[in-house]
Amino acid sequence: MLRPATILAVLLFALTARAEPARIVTAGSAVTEIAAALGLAPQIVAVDTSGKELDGMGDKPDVGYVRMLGAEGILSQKPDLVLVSGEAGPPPVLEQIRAAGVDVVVIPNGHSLDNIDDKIRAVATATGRTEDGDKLITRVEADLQALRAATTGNDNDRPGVVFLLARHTGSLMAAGSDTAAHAMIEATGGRNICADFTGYKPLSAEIVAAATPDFVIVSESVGGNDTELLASVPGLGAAQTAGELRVIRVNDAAFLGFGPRAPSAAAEVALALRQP
Amino acid sequence: MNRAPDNDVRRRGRLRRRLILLGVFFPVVLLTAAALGAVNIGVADLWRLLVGSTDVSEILRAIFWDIRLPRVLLAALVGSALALAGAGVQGLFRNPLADPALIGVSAGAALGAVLCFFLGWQGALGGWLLPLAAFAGGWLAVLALGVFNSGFAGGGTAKLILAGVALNAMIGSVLGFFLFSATDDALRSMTFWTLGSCASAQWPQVLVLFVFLVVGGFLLWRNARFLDALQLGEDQAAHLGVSVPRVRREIIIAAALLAGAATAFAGTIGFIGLVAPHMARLLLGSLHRFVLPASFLLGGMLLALADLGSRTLVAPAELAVGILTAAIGGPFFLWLLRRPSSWSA
Repeated sequence: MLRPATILAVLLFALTARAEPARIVTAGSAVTEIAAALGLAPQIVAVDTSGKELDGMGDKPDVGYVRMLGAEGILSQKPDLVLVSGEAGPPPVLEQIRAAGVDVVVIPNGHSLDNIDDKIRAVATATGRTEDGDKLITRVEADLQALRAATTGNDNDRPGVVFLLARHTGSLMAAGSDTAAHAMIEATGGRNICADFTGYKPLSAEIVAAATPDFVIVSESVGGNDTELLASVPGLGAAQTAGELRVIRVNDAAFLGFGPRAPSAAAEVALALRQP
Repeated sequence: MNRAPDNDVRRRGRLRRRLILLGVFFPVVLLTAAALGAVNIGVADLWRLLVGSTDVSEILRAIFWDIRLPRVLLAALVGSALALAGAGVQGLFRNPLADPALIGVSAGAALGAVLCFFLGWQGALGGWLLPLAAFAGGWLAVLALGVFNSGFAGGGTAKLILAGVALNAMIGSVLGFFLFSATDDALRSMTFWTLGSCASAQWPQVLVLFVFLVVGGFLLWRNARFLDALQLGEDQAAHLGVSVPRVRREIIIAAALLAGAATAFAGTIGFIGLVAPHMARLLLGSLHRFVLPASFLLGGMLLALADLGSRTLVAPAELAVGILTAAIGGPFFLWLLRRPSSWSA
């Protein structure tokens, strides 16, 4: 009764069904974002703290900070796949999870818009969703194209930009080089006025006053209107009263995460930077 | 006429019984810590695991033997090592506020680890470079202190304490510079290292720490009588025939071995080195023959319990253990302090 072709089809189905993990734990904002974009949200059983801020992930169990994971905590979610970004750790914990017989796939980090498709491909391969992965890559490529269109031709006259990490007013940190924000400012055709230092550092009023930024980029989660915000930044006084300083608000996870939403977030900012 | 020695014998007997009681609690606490965790292991399964029955799922066996047990043991050994080191330096300096950090070992270890993160080398040598760097940093700091004090022989104990304070401040400023210059990624790793964690526990580390504990513990133990004599003051101890410089050197070497190895594997964990020896003294008086083993037991239990909290309180996430050591040990210590001073009888 059973023809070989039917048997083959059933077998193949069984195989592919097995290849697709039923319970995934993700850690790292971009990784969670990509997995969700590939339609894996129902299979994601737990995320790290950064993942909880993404849409639809808020009620998933939290396995903690991505650099301070615990092997048992993750294993208690009974995953058959653990998908983490490059900074996940501590490294022995990942080893412990592997030793317990659970697949751990590390998706390399990259603070560049150019390797988002690599990340997507890696997640898609690990989860057996290559078709959805290709679709997502096509979308990302289109967004990158739009970004390129928005930034061509303004190499000579790059507006000065400062990215402020302002979770609480009164403790303003500016993004120097070697940060995700710096890479995004460069990608959007801006010039980071704080490129002289690395990492996030307390903002120096003198640097701000001397560099006269044209734009301030902050997270959209920062409260208060633009005037209040600018008033709290030391050294901005002159530029602000001249009315030449504008505030751009961005979604943290999209703008800094180098996930699939990064190119479109960058394109939006690039357009804002070009507005006269 | 005979009352005094009789009392003495009875007191020693009571202290010995208390020590034995602590010794009984120790494995009970460790077993309890091993029984609880993010993954639920029932009493029946725990028994099967312990007797090596094959009637347990593969994953449960891996979780218990490869993840939980080494972690509980590492936490206990780290706590014991810190408490022993604390008991040693408190006895040596005759200062209740002394802890292993005073001889620079913790700051030096932190500097070694932070340098490792700064250069991005924390994963090098299969993850062993980080504890190695921390241990080396701790030792270099103690050596620097030793060179300044001409091999811990010259100068008095007071000078040693002050030199330790200066050394700690100097290392602190170098640490601050690295923290300032670090990239965001490295900075976060550094911060979490300084909060302490036993999450990276694996069997080889447990074994290495155990060896350090045996060596350091032996060095302290063979100086227990001299530490008692030192409580009378250094001159009196010298009159009693104690070679003070030798004792000082051995205690510091032991404390640096113990605290250095503990910090190397678990990051900087405060409170235990300072308070566990005091708990031991409150319960068992001031003879080092009792203080040392009691510190070992109390420190181990304290950190095993704190680590249990760190694994379970916010599961499946982890709480930094440094947050919990004082939260768990502090109330117990206050309760001991408040008790009528039965121990001094």
